[in-house]
Amino acid sequence: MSETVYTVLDLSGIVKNVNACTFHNMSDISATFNAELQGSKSSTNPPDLFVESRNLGNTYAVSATVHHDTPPNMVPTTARITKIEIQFQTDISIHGDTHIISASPPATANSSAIWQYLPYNSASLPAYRNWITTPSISGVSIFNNPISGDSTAQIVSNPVLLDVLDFTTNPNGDFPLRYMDYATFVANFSTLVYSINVEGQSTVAGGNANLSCSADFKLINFQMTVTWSNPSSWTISPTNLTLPNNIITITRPETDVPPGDDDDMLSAIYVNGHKIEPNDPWVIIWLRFIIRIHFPVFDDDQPPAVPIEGDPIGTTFTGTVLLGILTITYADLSGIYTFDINHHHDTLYNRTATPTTQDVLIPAPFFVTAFFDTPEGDIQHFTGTRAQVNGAGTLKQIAQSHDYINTLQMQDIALRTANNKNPFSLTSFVDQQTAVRVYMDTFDDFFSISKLIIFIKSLFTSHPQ
Amino acid sequence: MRDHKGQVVSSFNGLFDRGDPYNNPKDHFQGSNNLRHVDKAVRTRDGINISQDVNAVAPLTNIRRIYNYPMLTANTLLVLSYNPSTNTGTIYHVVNSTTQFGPILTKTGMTDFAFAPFGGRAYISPFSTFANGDDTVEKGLSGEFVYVYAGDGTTARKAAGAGIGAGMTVAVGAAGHTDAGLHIYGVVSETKSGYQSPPGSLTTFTNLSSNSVSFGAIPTSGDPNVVARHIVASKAIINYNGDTEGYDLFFIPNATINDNTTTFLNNISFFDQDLIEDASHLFDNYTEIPAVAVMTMFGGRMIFGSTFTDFNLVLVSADGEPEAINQITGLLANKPNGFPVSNAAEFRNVLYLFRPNSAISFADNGDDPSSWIPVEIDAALGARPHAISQFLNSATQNVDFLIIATYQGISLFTGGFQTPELSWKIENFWKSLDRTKFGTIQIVNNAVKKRVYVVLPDRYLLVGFYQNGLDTKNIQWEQWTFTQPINTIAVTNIDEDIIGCDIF
Repeated sequence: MSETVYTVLDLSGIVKNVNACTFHNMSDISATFNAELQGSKSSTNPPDLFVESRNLGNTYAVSATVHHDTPPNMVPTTARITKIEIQFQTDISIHGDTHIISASPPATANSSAIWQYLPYNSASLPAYRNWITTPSISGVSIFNNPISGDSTAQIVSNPVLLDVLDFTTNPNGDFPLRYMDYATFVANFSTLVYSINVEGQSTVAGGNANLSCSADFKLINFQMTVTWSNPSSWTISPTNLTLPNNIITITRPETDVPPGDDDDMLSAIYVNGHKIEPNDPWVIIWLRFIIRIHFPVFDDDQPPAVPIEGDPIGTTFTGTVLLGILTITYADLSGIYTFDINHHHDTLYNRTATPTTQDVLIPAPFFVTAFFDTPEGDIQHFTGTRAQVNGAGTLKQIAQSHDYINTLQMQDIALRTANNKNPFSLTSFVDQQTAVRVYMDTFDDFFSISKLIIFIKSLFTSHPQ
Repeated sequence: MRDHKGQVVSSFNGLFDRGDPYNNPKDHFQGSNNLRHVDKAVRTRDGINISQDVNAVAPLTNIRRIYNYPMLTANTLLVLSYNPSTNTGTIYHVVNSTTQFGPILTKTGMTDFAFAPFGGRAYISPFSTFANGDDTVEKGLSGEFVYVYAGDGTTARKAAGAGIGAGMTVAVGAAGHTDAGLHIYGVVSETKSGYQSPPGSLTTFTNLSSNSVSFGAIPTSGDPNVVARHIVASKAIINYNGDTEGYDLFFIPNATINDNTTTFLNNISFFDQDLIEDASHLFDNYTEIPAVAVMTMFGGRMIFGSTFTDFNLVLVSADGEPEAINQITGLLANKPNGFPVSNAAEFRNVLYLFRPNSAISFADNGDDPSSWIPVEIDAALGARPHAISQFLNSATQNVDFLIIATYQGISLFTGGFQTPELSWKIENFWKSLDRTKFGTIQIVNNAVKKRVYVVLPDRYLLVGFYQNGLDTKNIQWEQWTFTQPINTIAVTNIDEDIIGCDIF
């Protein structure tokens, strides 16, 4: 048996996104029982068949108490539980005896025992039964062999019964946030009760026979593994979006962690399952501690609640983290439109009352230049840009390194429609590769750029070259 | 800034998404959005404005498809609005920002429609997308037909039509001249769109050489669109076998009734030598044309492809008669390959027929379409519906190319797919598109603005600026996003771009 334990949430601020804890060898378990089936039938007119089926006595109950708050098996109260795996290790022995009394013509007999593992208490059905996404095997006949004449057969098996509850799949629709909270976990998983049934069956054809079948069913181990993630430090704003206002801001508190060691940076986000990466057209800005996007138009239905998820770049964890849930109020912006060279914004139909119009900004106009570097990969100092540009509003720029690990907002440039100077935007950015993101994010702002000069100097180089 | 060298970018050439972004050329973007190019400079794109006056009409919603509809006096729009809650598509005729006709056609299940203009009329066919194993196919709607719209705001009617009923009588007329002997006479009705029905009301009469013939009890058509009836006749028959449809029939000169009410036509004189214009070919024409997903013009012929019951079927009309399709000689032979006929276009007097993964060509040999020989052009690349660039009312261009969106990329087609593709610079981007949604891609060329617009499966635009040259190196690609999803685009009035937006 293996045990997997991860460090729980470090409240000092270093967030681990995926955690798991295993509970095992609980002392409260007892589940060992025997059951027998015996019967005798005769048949003189082959190929008559008879079937003797009898529930082997009682339903045997197994109970286990889950100690979830005792070290080292702790689930933090802030945990977002994404998966629970409940596992029984079993030892099953099924024995069958057949004595053919007479055979004219020769008789054959089959014996089988079917055991059923039912994760419920016959008196009440716990809610978690509906959340099992991958059930363990049950109802399987593990002994079904033909026996001729006097014979004995036995099968021994040690199946592992594993029930998996994967809350990321929203089982039974009870987990729209795709995790189970701590309070629900404690309420449903403090004590687990299971029932074991074993059922036997024998048939004889063309003769008289005595048959017997017995089963030993033993639980030799119990293990429960809980996997959880901690609430992400990222937050969504607003949580209620009313279209056509469609800007979403995702932020987290700034830390002193250097860019190269910052495991909680996001390499991608997901809006209702649609992946968005930093250079995608929906992105306004993508910085270490703030991401701003326009709500994308992929879906052709209108989901009222949209999960926003993210991929942290750290190697400690894998998978996607839930950042928040957006509630969307949609608006009918459909219709026929035409391009207007005199417009620096978009004018849309407004059908809230009497049809009229509404003006919105053009979503995220931007470009990201190629990377500027040296063939040797020198560490460079990037000090700013000079642009041959005119327009209106504020031209914004971000210096960024490869994969957006290191980013720095640069000085804004106030634009004029007529201009005899090429404005300079100062910064101080050090990295091996530098690209510049140029963008605008205000209503009626526009730019026209015909030249961009990027000022770079090598600071450090490697040897030998 | 001492010792800091300036790296100059004086040329902005759009998006580059091919291979590792670390290796992008310095004059291209790793990412960009909502920009346009003027020569080598880059600007924010133009804003959009509403196209319909909210004070004059109720603006259309849930736009799925727009076509530029050239009428005799103006360029207008045909617009499909689809209501997903009722699964109903409705087509309107938008004349200008303040004038809108319709609905002109409403059909359950119509999520898209094919369109071809002819003589100021609009030929319309409802179609939709259907599952076909792991893929999807576009086919005409089941139990539906091709419709013709006159452009006057009246409801579109079924194209073609049935023959006229029986009952005409023929008698000796006043003194005149005919060729003596047994003749077969019949009536061909003509609709306002010029469609001529199969001959009906067939009857025999023995002419007297010194007399004309008079026709009575000429049946009228139950179709209110019939505007004329023509009397047709055979030449004199020596040994009549009793089959009124077994002889060539011809239009009698001056034997036309220019209405659908008059029931007699008296004293018509003619010689058999005067019978020149053949009417026999009308017998085998479709009286109703099944709905299709593909419609285009090839010379003066209308091409129809992909019906609901047979997505390999391609029909070709008679020259100059878009509704006259012979059920025997009007079928185009093309070898099935498991994929539907999905597009067709004329280019340099050759008809190109496309499936999603292949292209074949046909040349008009002057004989029946069923005798045209197919020539395989490409066995890997083809075109889905709307994936061939259109300029105003024609799929052929004012320069020598078509622009086609294929699974491989956006390619120039000059009788074969040119490589490298126009989309070579954004190959990663193009290959990342969901192939199961390629049926939604639409490509439109604005030759005046020198832009190619591509409506993407994710419902925003890819724009190719080719003012510096329509080739792989000089084309500048940009993405244009909007607050609302885009389903369709059209170019009207020479260079006006119209986009159709959907509700979420």
